[in-house]
Order: sequence, then structure tokens, then C-alpha cells
Amino acid sequence: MDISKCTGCKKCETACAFFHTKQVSNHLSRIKVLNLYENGIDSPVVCQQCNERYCINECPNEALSIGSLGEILVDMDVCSLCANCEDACPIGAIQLFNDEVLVCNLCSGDTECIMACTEEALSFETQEENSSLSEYKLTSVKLTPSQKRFEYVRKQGIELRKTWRENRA
Amino acid sequence: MLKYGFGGKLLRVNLTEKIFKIEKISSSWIKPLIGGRTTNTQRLYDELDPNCDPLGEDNIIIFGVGPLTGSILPASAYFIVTAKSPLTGILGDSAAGGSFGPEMKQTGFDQIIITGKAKGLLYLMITDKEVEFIPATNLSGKTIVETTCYIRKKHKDYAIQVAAIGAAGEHQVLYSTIVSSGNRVNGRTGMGAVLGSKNLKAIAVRGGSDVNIARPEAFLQSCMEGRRDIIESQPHYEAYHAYGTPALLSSTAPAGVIAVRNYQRNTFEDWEALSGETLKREFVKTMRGCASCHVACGPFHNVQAGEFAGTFGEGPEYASAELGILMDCNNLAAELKYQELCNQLGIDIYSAGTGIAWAMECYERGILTDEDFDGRPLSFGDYQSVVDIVPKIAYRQGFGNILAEGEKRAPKLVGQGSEKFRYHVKGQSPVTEDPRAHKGFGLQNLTGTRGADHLKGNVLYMRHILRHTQINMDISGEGLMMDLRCPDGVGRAVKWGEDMTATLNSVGMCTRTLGSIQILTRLLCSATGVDFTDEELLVIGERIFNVQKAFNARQGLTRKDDDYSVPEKFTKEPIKDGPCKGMIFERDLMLDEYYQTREWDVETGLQTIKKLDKLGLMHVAEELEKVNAIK
Repeated sequence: MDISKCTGCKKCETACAFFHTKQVSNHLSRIKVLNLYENGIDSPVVCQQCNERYCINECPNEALSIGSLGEILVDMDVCSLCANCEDACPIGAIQLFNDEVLVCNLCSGDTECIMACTEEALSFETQEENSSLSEYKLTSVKLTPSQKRFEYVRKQGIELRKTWRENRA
Repeated sequence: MLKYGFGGKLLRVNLTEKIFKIEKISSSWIKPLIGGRTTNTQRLYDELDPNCDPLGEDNIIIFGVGPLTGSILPASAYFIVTAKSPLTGILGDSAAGGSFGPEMKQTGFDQIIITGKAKGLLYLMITDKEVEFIPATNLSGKTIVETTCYIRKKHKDYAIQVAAIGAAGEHQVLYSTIVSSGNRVNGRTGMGAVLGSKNLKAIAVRGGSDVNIARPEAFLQSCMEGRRDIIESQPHYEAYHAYGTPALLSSTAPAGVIAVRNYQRNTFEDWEALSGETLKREFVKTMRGCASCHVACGPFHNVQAGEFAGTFGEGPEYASAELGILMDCNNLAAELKYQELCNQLGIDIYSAGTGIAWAMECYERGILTDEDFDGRPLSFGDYQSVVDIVPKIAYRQGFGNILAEGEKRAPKLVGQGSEKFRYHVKGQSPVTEDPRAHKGFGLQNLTGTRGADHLKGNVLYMRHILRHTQINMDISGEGLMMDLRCPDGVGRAVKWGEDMTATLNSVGMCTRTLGSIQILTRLLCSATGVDFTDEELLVIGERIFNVQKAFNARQGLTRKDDDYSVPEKFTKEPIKDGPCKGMIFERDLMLDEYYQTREWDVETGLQTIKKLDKLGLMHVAEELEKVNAIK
């Protein structure tokens, strides 16, 4: 994800919901775009396939597992809709909506959101090591998924704004 | 009940009683009207008392979205606000993009109709499940961004979209705006003042319902076609994507089309200081797009050094770059600051900017003196004075209080012949493309149903949209680009431009992106499941333009109102310098052609019973007959 390129247009978000459900609704999307008008940062938030896998660890029913691409798979047959995964994720990338667990499944590698993005802000690369979200974990306790996404984008925005100042200098 | 492409419901809110009512929208509305601007206009026409005070309890303000708003189609983020305008006293309506429209659509309400007046300042929180009236006295005087952040934080949801008014709206500055998505503005005709008069600080929306598409596969295919069409055939796509609309300045400024020093001159040597290229090089960090749009024509800028350091926001638009030239200022950072202040305080930059330029000319001519200004006088080229006056307009302090009274009243308050230098149509000032040089702009200013207007005629894009149709051939011969400096054919072009724009406003699309009516028809059919033809879509546009015209005719407007406040300035006084030297505005010639194309009465500019009958608007004709406003 390259947030310096994001225009905040939400094409990824509408595309995700539309291809999964054939409906227009950002609630049904697994990638969520935030527009932070207070500092001018726009960015999508989506599952990072993190090193820690907080969601899987907290699931009491073993409904979550890791797929071949590193994606989170949800088995709705054993899921009890307890929302532990939602609480566990430090960046609000997994969420319950209408009795369904919504999390990025990487579209089996054929990602609709990346195809929808015309700004090349999104990309899908296989890395040797997954990124860590531990720095977001402590501050994310008791926040709603939306608040967690906000904090995540806000922190990234601070970094981005630093580069603006450096480029200027 | 509308099943596809629509939420199918409308919300009526009465602020006096703090009650709301949800109604189903009948499917009989879709074929003649579609949605968005058309349904808003029809409803306002049907339900509003034409003699009501625009800033009184009886005025009705309507938010509306169209069937394509918020879909995966690019450039489909528009919502329309309609009410009786406090600035002009006639029909007010204004469209904006951003993310508010799509979010409103997902609440399931295609229209939000607001009446009455709240006792104290409040905001509305509207979701698909409930409508809350929340006190907002603590938000008084807060900017748009502050209001948005406050509401999001309070409800712990950062996907909430807010359309709010700033200090100007609260003080009922006649041209105050509604701003959503941080910098997306329902700018013209003073819709913010109407919300202010109702003590409504903001409307917050958060959707939870989904909108069904009738034929998803076909719709997707048409979306892809639409996207390709925008990239391949929209003449300014590359430039918009790179620089935003200020890119246009590099073609119009050297051509001598733009007015300088309040229409005194037409050459401005230092235009490059305000151009899209300079903007990009100096200040732009990234481009911003409305929901689902890949054109991303909003340059997000941040000024990091100099006297205006810290300024940030989206824009400017081409027309705001023109304002700098009108005031003879060549400082781009100051222009960005001016725009930031206007947007965050909720002031229409065009009405304010042309008002400032008018005051500058009055000062130059000695009509206004140092004593009239409590502080720095407004004078041409003095950008600091421009930046200083904006908060005074918003809070109605000193000379700002006079400017806040708008195009018609401010010159009356100043008197001493100052009226001769305030150029407007029906009480709203035009964007400052000189009508003598750019006839298309000039004529659409006169015929616009909300006063002078550059967005509802759209002659620049019209040919592009109609390029595969017989209409384009009829207007411009072999489908060639028509020269808008020549008065022939302008009347016809403006008529079709107005109709097409009305249609695009109705479906919820941006008016300057999609390039083909055929694709639009396919999109609409596959989304709603209702069959339309290309011709029907154009008739829908024409129908609603006629209802808008009737709205104004009902209030007594005729051909003499389709004119500039100082007609001789443009029809008699030729341009003094630049490539367009010697040109005048051939008003009568073009207006005659326009009325003839519209099949209206040429002498009075009124509609005819025959034409309204043809459009299926006999109920409108009958009402106009009662007030003798039809031929």
C-alpha cells in the first residue's frame, strides 16, 4: 500500500463489495478507505496478513485459518459470531456485518481492488517475512474497528507528512 | 416501490417539531424524472409556496441523489441541494461531488426534505435505521473540517460523511455554502444560508443498507466502457488528472478570454504564476478524487513556506484561478489561502470574489474611500486585503457586512453609481470568463435558471457527449468543434448543453467527464432495470429544464431578466485589448436563436403551452396560465 498515491476515491472499496456481493455498499467491503480531512490523508485499510495473526489466536472456535497466499480464511459453519477477532485486530481490518465475518481473502490472488485502482496505490507482493502490527496493538484496546482504522491511518499520515517537509527542504 | 438503483424511500424532516417521516417513492417518478436534480426540482415546484421568504421557516431544502450515485461507475458521486435561493429569490440548486452523496445513498433515502426551523443550533444524524436531532450549540462558529471531525469522533465512526455550514451560513451571508467531504462545495445560490436560517449546522449520514443493481453483469460492462470512454475521449482527461481544472488556464489566459481588473482589461501577463503547472510544482502533494472516480481532478495542496504557510486543502478549480486574475493578484499561495478560508467558513468563492473585485474598482474610482473599510482597503493587486476581508464577510463585520448582502443589495447599500460596476444575472455573479470573448459562457449565464451560471449549460462538454448523435451534426455541421467566439449556433448549443447537464445531474453524475449519451443510457437501463432510449434521456433533461424555467416564470421573470445587470457593458463596450480586442456580446442574436430552439416565445422569453404539452407538463402550464406567465 502506497498511501502517498491514494486519491481517496474508494474505487477499491466499491469494487470489493460489488464483486463479492453484486451490491453497492461500503459496509460489505473488506477494504475500507478513510478520508482524514483534518490532515489531508486518504488511505485504504485492509488485512496486512500480519506476523502476529491476532485474530486467529483469539478465535475460540478455530473458525479462522491461513490460506495458501497467507490470507485469512473464515469457516462460517463453526463461527459463533463472538467478534473476538474484531476486537483483536489492531487496525480494524476484520469486522462482523450482518452475521458475516468480513476480511480480505485476496480474491485467490486475482485481487479486484488492485485492478480497480488506477493510481497504483495498491499492490500485491509476496514478502519473505510478514509485516508486524505489534506497534498498533497496545493503543487499539477497546476501540471500535472504525476508530482503529482511523488511528492506523493517522499514524501513517504523520509519516507521510514528514516526507512532504523533507522533500520541500 | 423502486427496487433497483434506488433506495426507494424519502425522508421528511420537520425541524420546528423535531419529527421525521419516511415515505416510499412511487415508481411512477422514474420514467419522467429519473432522480437527483429532476425530482428535487419537481418536488420543490409542487410543494413550495412561491412567495415564501427564502430565509423563513416555510422554505424547503431538499437533498437528492440519483440512481447511479455511489455506484462503481467513475464520476458518479453527485448529490444535489435544492431550495428557494436567498441570494436570487428564485430557484436555487447546487450540486457537489465527494463522498457525501454515495454515503447518503446507502442510508436508503433518495431524498431528504427539510422544513421548519430548529429552536437552537443542531445537527441531524441520519442512518438507515434512525434519524437523530442532536444539539450543536458547541459547534457554533466551527469550520467544516472541525465539525466533521467532531461528529465522527462523537459517534466513533470515521466513515460518517458530513455536509455542514460554516460561520457564514450561521450568519446567513446570502451566498454561504454547504461543504461536505472537507472541501466539496454546494457553492452557488446560498444554500448554506437556508440551512443557517433553519438553525441546522450539519447533516451527517452513515449508510448501512445496500443498493441493488438490476443487471450486475451488464452494468459492470457498461461501467468499463464508461471508464474507457472518459480516458480515451474526454478532451481534458490527461490535463485534469495531472493538474486539475486550472490546467485550462494555459489555453484561455493567453487567448484573452479572461476578464482582468473587474472586466476592465483582458490581458494578464503573469497568468503563469497562477497556472496548473505552477500549482503542481509548488504546492500539490497528491490528487484527490470523488468517490469511485479515477479522473481525480482535485489537486490536494499544502503550502509549507512563506506568509501563507500551513494552508492546505483541495483545489483550486479553474474558475477560482480566474478570480485571482479578476482581482489583478498573481500570488498563488494567497489564492489558496483565500480558497481555504472561503471553504472552511462556508462562503461561495465566486460571489465573494466578484464582490471583492467590484469593491476594488469602487475604491479605484473613489466611490469607496479608506474610511469605508475598517482596516486595509480592498485595492487591485493587494492580495493581503483579500485574505483579510473573508472572515469579515463570514462574521458580517465592517465592510464585510455589506459584501455579505450579495450581488443585488451590496451595490444599493454603497450607492453613488457603484451599481454600474457590479455584473450579475438575476442576482448571481458569473464566473469571470468574458462573455464578449466566449459567447457560449455568456449566453448560458443569461439563460441559467439559477442566475449566471457556468455549470448548468456546459457548452464546452456538450459536443463531446452528443458526438455520435444527429444533434451534434445539426449544431456544428460535420461534427467539428464549434468556434464559441462566433455567435451563430451558440443558442442551439446552449439549449442542448442545458438539457444534457440536467440529465447528468439527475442520474448523479459529474457533468464534465462521461463522453457518450449511448453509454449513459446503457448504464441507466442496467442499473435500474427500466428501459430508456437516448432520446428519452434528452427529453428528461429538457422537461426538467422547463420545470425550472416555470419555477422562475411563476415569480414573474421574463426575457428582460435574462440579461446582465449592466447590459451595455458587454453589448456596447468592446474588449479593449488582447487577442479578442474589439469583440462585443451579441446578446439579442443569440437569445433569439436560443428561445426559438427551445420553442418558447421569442418576444417575452416565456414558455408556450404547446411546448409544455409536448413535454407532458400540462399541469405546469395550467398553473402558469393562472399567473399569466405563459404564451
